[in-house]
Amino acid sequence: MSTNSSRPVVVKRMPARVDGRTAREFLRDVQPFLTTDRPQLVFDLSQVQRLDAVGVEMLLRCMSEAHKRDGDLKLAALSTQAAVVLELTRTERLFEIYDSSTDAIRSFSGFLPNAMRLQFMERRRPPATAA
Amino acid sequence: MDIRGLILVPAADKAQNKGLPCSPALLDVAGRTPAERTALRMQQAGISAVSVVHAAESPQLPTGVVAGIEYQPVDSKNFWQAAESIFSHMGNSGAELVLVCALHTYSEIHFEKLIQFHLDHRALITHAHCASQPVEVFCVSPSRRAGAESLFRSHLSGQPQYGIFDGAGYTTPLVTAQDLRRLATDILTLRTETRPAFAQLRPGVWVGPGALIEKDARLLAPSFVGAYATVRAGAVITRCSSVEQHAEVDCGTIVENSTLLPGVRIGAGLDLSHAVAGPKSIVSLRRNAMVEIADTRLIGRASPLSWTRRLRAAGAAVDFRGAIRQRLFRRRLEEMAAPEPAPASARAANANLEIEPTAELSPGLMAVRRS
Repeated sequence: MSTNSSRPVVVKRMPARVDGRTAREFLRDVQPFLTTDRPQLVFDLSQVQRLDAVGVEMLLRCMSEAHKRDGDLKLAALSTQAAVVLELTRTERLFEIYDSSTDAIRSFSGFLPNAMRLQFMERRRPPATAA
Repeated sequence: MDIRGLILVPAADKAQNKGLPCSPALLDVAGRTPAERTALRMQQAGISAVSVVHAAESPQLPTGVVAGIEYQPVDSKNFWQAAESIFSHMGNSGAELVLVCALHTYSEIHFEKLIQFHLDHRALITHAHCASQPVEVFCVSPSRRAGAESLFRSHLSGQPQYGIFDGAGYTTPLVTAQDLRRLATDILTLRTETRPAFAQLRPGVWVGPGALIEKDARLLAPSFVGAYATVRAGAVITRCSSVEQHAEVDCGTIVENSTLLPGVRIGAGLDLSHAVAGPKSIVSLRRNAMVEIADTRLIGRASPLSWTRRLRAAGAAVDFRGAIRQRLFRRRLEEMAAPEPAPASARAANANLEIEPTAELSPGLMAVRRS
């Protein structure tokens, strides 16, 4: 688990084989983090060797749960197997995918404050005066 | 002149052709295997008897059968010895010339010119080259055994003492899934001399006999759908994709620049692109990786039941007497099940309903208007 100044980013490594049973176990493990306020999760898929439709459904369910609570779920370090299955099921376009967990964690702390900072700067900029 | 063809398909290198059930030479590409295509080209060049010697790695997938081609599975450990003995048998049984071709490469050498060159130069062995690159096609006179023995013992590697025939023609390696896809693309874009196996449904779209294309399915040229393949509603086959025989593409799935090997079923709502799909695996060409998929909702074998259903349907179509008997029986059943027409007074029991004359309708029907 990694934390920044505001809210924690939970990084969870997915098991090598994600089928019906392991997907349920995994969901049970991450459920407490999903039910927090504005959860920030990163799933590390570097170890995944076998991912089936149940695993993909579980990922979508986690993302949906996170979005319901105004949070987000990002995927990191996809193994080739995971990447091919996500492409096959057309779900890779639904997730933010990063090369490493570090990049994914950084994206939580970097992107939103920057956007907010820009808005803030625009608001504070003095109106242009005619010469 | 007795000229025979010997096509050799050695065992596939597992490290190189990962994800494919057997050598690409024995897998369908736009309706025919490269081995069949080579054999057909040999037959067109006037070579009557063609033998395909392949390692007995037993392809599980159904392959098409072409008349006049003899398939001879041999033990992969003793492949070259077996090939040599088959070659010797050809020589003993009267063959004057044998065209030996190993399918590590698919090449469209002009066989007639090669044979003529061999005869003109009275060579023992003539090695074919394509655009100055050696290909594994040899023309051999079996009467002089010594040279032929060295050819097989060196696994068809070229020797300086062989005559060289430099011809032009299409050539592509045939080892990996990428090679299989390249050949499919080249056949469908008509870069090769050989053509897709079946007639064109419309320009650039080939569909085999017995293929089931549901109403809302889209086939965008160039594409190929093999015999008895099924493309369900909403599916899209595009960009040189090849759905081989008995394969099935389920509803809403997009197949783009991909090959579905024979008998493979791909599930609903998927996106197969730049890949070769086998019964339990996908070879991703973009990632150059093979991924095993155990989930039959994504990919698996097409149900054998659908094959048997089709066979039964075909049998029923042939059995005219049975069909007529069945139709008569069904009509009799319908007559027995039809209710007796009720009297008009009972039918008009509801005062709000107005009965109209029913002269134009059949006796069992009437028109009623709500007032």
